[in-house]
Amino acid sequence: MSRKIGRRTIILRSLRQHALSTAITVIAVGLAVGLTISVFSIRQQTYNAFTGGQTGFDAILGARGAPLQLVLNAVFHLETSPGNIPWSMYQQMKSDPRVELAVPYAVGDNYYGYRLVGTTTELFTEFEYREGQKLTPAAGGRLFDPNRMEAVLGHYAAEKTGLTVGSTFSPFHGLYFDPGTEHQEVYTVVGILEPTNSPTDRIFLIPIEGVFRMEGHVLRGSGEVFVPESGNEIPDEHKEVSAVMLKFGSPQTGFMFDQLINKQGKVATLAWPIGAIMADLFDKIGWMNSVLALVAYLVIIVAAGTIMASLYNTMNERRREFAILRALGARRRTVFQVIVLEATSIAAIGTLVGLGIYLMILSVAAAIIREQTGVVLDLMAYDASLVWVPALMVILGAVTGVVPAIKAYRTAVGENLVAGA
Amino acid sequence: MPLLTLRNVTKSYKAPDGSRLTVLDIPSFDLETEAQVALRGASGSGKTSLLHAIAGIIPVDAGEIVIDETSLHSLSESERDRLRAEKLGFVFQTFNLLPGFTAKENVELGMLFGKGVDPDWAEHLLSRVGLADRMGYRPSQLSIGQQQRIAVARALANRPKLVLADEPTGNLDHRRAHEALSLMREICTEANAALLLVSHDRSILSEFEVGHDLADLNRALKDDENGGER
Repeated sequence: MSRKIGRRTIILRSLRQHALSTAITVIAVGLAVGLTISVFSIRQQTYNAFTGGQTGFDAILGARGAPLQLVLNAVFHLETSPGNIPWSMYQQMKSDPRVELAVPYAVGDNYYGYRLVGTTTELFTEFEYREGQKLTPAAGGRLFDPNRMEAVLGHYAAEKTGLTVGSTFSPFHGLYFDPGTEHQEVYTVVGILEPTNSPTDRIFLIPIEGVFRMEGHVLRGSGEVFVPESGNEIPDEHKEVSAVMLKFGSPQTGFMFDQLINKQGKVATLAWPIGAIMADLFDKIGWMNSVLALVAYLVIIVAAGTIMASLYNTMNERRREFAILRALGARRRTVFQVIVLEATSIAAIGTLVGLGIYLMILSVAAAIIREQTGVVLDLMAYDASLVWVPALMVILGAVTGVVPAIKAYRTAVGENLVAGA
Repeated sequence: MPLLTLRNVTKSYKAPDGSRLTVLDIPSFDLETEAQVALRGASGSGKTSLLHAIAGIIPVDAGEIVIDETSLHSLSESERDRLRAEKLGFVFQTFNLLPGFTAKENVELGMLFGKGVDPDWAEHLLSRVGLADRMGYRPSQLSIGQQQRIAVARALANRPKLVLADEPTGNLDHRRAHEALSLMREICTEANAALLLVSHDRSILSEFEVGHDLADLNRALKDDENGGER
């Protein structure tokens, strides 16, 4: 037998009786809630991921140009490189006691769109991409030998290309994949990094010497074109790097280098602090966020209107039901409460559906962002919109129930009992 | 003291031409505790208006209606709702069962706004009207006669002092009407509830020890030679 009847039963039966309009309304509310939370949460998570200083470095030294391009190129492995700087600038930084760590990057090749970054083994031995966490090859792998054509792959890049330890591959020229530009050199995969949930997951790391010597590459570190010859050592003055990743001992060092390189110098650019440069980018596209937020608010209002319309439309057919309940002794305010609670229930169920939709949208967005940037969003991360959007929707749902509730409240009992006869 | 007393009760409605059409003008009517009385009236004789006025569903223009020593006139709307929920039961001609609810739930709805839901009592009533094996059925899954029996069970659900029945057998054939009426009277007797039944069917009156023609009670009918719809 069924459970003891109550107001909840009246509401549930009504929702079931109008299952189609209930389902449509719940979906509309769910989409509104899901989209709105997605807009706010993904925006915030993306902002945090790109500006949160999770790169492990404080600054990037690169060719004269826009700091943002340097950051996008060297940290997120997007965009083209603004150019190269001489090896001597790297050496200068490396020998400066105020610099805790200086790691050179040389780029210029890819493997099916996944970039090859030439660097030194210090990236594995000294660099911490998060506090206490170093880039470590997974079991069965090792670091590359700086003097051999070996590669260590980011976890995601290995997963997507299907390369494993022992696999060999030939890089393609350029930062973007072009099938006609395959190099002759054959590299062997010697390690695959443990996942880092950072852009490093989607790159191939090779010895920087390998980039210098790649077929077709020329070096202009000294200002003149130099083509490395096999078996001969490359003089330092000819070497050049795309960027030098820097970690400073103190923030004052960053400020000082900023003055020295950006304000007084003319040959290089110091992108510092990295988080602030990315934040500046987000600020520039802030208007787009405002537009998205506005659209989200409108969607919420439309969803609330849908609740009202769907309930209001059922009021005519339900007048007899209310008249019967009143004849059985239900007070006007009971009927009013039932309608408001029904609207609130639709909003609440829709909100739960919306949280599911949000998780789906977030999963897709996270996959796209990971694919494009290597940045991984935390699906379970807390965002204030996870609280205020559902709360707003449920409150709005209750408010929209008031208009049909007033109609139910005013139901003329006698007339509608007879009308049913 | 009678269970129900009507004194000088009048009720009129606004006619389409703006004039007032009096449908009830009852100088005096009493119903004793646990009594069973039938009132006969033609269609439009104010039968439904009378029951709705007694139930406090519609307000009267003048006069006094007293139920179990409580004057409806002195009560607010929500107090009248409360009185209806606790002391009155209703059986309608079209039964007015809620289609989305099972037989048992429909009976329990009759308790929900009064003294509280008592599932055992609901089951007892449904068993008493012969629907023990149909408690989980919705009205659309039951015959007209079975629906009528649910309506009777629901009217008794809140253990009322007075059951008001408005053409309760109007949708049944003669044999079933007789059976339904007997059942209703038996159950009211068992539950110590008075029964006031209105019907247009003259044969119904013969089933009751006490029966009146509404025209004898309602002066509005005497004043209006043409009768008219009420």
